[in-house]
Amino acid sequence: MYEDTDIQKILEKRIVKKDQGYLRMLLGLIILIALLIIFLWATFSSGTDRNKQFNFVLSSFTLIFIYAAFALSLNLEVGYVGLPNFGKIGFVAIGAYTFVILETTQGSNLFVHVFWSVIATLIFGVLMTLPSLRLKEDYFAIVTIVAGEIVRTIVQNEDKFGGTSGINYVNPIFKKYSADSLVKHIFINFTSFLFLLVIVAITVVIAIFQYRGYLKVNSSKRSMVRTLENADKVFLFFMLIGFIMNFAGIMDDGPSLGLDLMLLLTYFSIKIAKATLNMIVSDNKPTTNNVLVGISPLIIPIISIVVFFLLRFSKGDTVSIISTPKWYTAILSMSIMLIAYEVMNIMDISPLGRTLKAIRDDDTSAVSVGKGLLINRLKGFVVASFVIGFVAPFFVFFNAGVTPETYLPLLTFILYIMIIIGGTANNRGVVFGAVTIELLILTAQRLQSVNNAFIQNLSYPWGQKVDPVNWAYIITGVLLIVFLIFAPEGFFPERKYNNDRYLDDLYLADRDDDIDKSKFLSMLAKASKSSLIYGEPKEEIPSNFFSNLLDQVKNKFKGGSENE
Amino acid sequence: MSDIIFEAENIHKYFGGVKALQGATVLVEKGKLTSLIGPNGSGKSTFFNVITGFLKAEENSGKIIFKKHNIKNLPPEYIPWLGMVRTFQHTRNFPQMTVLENMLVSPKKQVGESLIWSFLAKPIWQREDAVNVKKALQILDFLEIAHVMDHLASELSGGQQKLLAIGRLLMTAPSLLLLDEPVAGVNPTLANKIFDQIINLKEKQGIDVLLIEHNMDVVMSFSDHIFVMAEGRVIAEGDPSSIQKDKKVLDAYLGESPDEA
Ligand SMILES: Nc1ncnc2c1ncn2[C@@H]1O[C@H](COP(=O)(O)OP(=O)(O)OP(=O)(O)O)[C@@H](O)[C@H]1O
Ligand SMILES: [Mg+2]
Repeated sequence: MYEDTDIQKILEKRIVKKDQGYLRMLLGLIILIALLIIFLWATFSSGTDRNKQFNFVLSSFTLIFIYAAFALSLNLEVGYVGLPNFGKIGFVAIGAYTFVILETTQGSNLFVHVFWSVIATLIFGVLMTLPSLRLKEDYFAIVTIVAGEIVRTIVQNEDKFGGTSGINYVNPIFKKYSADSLVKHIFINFTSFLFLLVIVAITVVIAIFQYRGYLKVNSSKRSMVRTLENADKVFLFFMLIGFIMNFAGIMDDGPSLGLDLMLLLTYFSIKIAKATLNMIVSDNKPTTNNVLVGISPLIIPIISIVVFFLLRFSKGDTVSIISTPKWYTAILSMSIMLIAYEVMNIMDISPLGRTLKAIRDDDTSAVSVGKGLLINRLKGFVVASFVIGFVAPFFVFFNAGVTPETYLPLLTFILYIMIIIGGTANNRGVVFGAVTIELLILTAQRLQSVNNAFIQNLSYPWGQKVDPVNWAYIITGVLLIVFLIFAPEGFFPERKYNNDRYLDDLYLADRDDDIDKSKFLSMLAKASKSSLIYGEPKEEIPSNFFSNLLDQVKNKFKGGSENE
Repeated sequence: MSDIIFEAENIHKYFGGVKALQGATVLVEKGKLTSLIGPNGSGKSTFFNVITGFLKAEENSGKIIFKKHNIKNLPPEYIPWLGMVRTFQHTRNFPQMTVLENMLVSPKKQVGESLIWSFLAKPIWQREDAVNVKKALQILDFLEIAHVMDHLASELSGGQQKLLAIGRLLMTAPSLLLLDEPVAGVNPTLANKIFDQIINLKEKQGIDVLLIEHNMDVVMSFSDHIFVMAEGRVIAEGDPSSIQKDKKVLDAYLGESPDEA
C-alpha cells in the first residue's frame, strides 16, 4: 500500500528547517584569529632568541593538535555514545606507558609498539564499557574517574613504571637525525615538486572519474561538491605518504620543508574549494557555516607560511633557525589529528553513528528496535580508544617521556571544556574548541614573559602583579559556566534539522543494477553481506561468536530489573 | 493450531510485594486484531514489558512462544529481530534527531552499523540508506507526518510523536506490533484515523497487532478478539460482543455488579 506512493510528491510536502547560529560561529572564529595574533605577537616579542621563539610556536601547535585528537576521541564517547568518560587521561596513560615501557625494554620498534599501545588502550576501553550496563550516567562518570586515577596511582608507585620521576624517552628519529640534517631544503626541490605533481594528478584523475559518475544523476555543481568531498580524503592519504617519504629521506637527498607546506596548502585548498562550492550550490542549506568552517583550517598553513617568510627575510641564519625537528612533530601531530578527524567524520555520518546517537537519546527505545546497548557502546569505545592508543605515543614524543603528573585528571577536564565550548557532537566544533582553549592557555604563558612594558607593569589596585596564566584559567572557567548556562550546544552546535544528506542520495535507491554492473561494488556488497543482494534479513536471532560471548558477559552484569 | 503466532502462558511478575502479573495467559491469532483491556494497574504494560524481554518473568512462569521461538529468556534487543516490536505507553522516540533519522535507526542488519564496514563499505551503506530513506518517506506519508520530516522528534506534537513511534516500528519490517495505548491523549478524529491505519496495516501488510487500549468504543469496534485483565490475571476473553455481556468484566471495571449490562 505505501510502497507505491510517489516520492516526488512526498518531498513537495516538506517543510525545510534551517540551522541557525552562523553569527555564533563567526564570533568564535574572530575570537580564534584574535587569539592567534596575540599568541604570535607575545611569542615573538618575548626574549630575543628567534630559535627559541620558533620552537615554542611549533611545539605549541604540536600540543594543540594532540589535544584536538584527544578531544575528538572524547567527543565520540560523550557526544555520540553518550557515556561521560571522566577518566580519559587514564586511557592516554595506558597507551603512553605501554609504548614507553616496550620501547625502553624491547628496543626501539615504533610501528610494533604503537600497535601494542593501541591494543592496550582498546582492552582498557572495552573493560570500561562494561560497567555502563548497570550504572546510570553519573555513577559511570565516577567509575571512570576512579579508573583513571587508579592507573596514575599505580604507575606513580610502581618502580617498574618509573615511579614519580617517570621514564625518559627521546624520539629515536631525533636521535637519528641531527637538527640541521632534518631540513635540508627550505624551498621545494625538483624531486619533491615532481612528487607533488604526481599525487595531484592522481587525485584529479580519481576525481574526474567520480565526477562523471555523479554527473549522470546530479547537476554539475552538485556533482562537483560530491567529488571534492571524496577528493580531500584521497589527497589526505597521499599527503600522509608524502610526509613519511619526505621524512624518511626517500624523496631526495634530504627532507624538504617546502614539500610539507605545499602538501598542506593543497589539502586545505581542496577543503576550501569544497566549502565555497557548497555555498554556491546549495539553495536551502545553511551556507555561511560551510564557508566559515571551510576557511578556518587555512589559518594553520597561512600562519606557518607567514612565519616562514618572516624568518626567511629577517636577519640571522634562517636555515639554522628553521632546521628544527619540531617541524616534524608539528606536522606529524597535525596529520594524526586529521586522520582522527576523518575517522570521527565517518562515525558522524555512518549508520553506526546514527545508532549511537539513538542510544544516547533514548537507550530503551533503541533496544526496542533491536539495537543492543553493549555491542554498540563497545563499538564507539573501541574507535575512541583506538584513536587514543594511536595518538598517545605522539604525546610521549612531545613530552620526551612519561611522568605521572602529566596524567592528572585536570587534563580530562580541559578536554571537556574544549568539547563543551566547541560544540558537543560536532567534530569541527571540537577541533575549534581544542585550538581555542589551548591557545588561550599558551598565550597566557607567553604573556608572562613578553617584552612589553604595559603588560609587564599591569597590576591590581592593591599592588599585586597580574598573572596572565591565572587569568587564562579564570576565563576558561567563566566561559565554561557561561556556555553551560546560556549555550550548552557550544560555538558549533550539533548539526540537526538537516536531511539533505539523505535526500541527495535518494537517487541511489532506484539504481539496483549498479551493484551488478560494478565488480567492485558487488564484491563489497557480498563481503559485507548487504541486504541489497541478500534481501531482507531473515527473522532469526542473530548468533555469532561475539554476540554469544557478549550475552554471557551481560548476564553477569545485568541486574534483574530494568524499567521501561 | 498453526495460526497462533504468539502465545504467553501463565506469566508471573512480582515487584517485591506487588504481584503485577499472576498467571496471565494471552494468545494472538494470525489475522485477528487482539486487544488487551483492563482497569488501571491491572498489569497490561507489565505484561508487554515481560514478553518483550525488558523485564524478566518469574521462575514459575510458563512459556512465551513467538513464531515457534521460545523467547522467554531472550535479551530485549533480540526480540525485534524475530519480528515482534512494541511501543511504550509514554512515547519514546529519539528526541535530538530528525524525524527521518528516527526512522532510519530501525532497519535491522545495516551494513553501516558494523564497525569495519562503516569505514570500508561506504558505497554500500549509502545505497542501503537510500533504499531505507525511500521506504521511510513512504511510511511517513502513510502516517501523514511526512511534512515534518526535517523537524526534531522532540518538536512534534504528542499525537505526531505517537505516529512516529509506530512509523519507527514499521521500519523494522515487523510481523507483530504490540501497541501500548497508541491513541491515549490523541484527539478523537486523529485517533480514528490512526485506527483506520492500524487496520490497514493488518489487512494490506499482513501485520498482526496486539493492542492495549482504554477507549472502549474503539476497542469494541475494531477488535476481533479481546482479553480482559484484572489484578494480573486474564479474567475473560472472547469477541467484543461476548465481552460486553460478561459480568466479570463489569465487576472488574466498576467494582460491583450492576443490574443490567
Ligand atoms: N517498575 C515497577 N516497580 C514496581 N511496581 C511496578 C512497576 N511497574 C509496574 N508496577 C506495578 O504493577 C502494577 C501493574 O502496572 P502496569 O503498568 O502494568 O498497569 P497497566 O495495566 O498498564 O495500567 P494502565 O492502564 O494505567 O497503564 C501496578 O500496580 C504498578 O504499580
Ligand atoms: Mg499501562
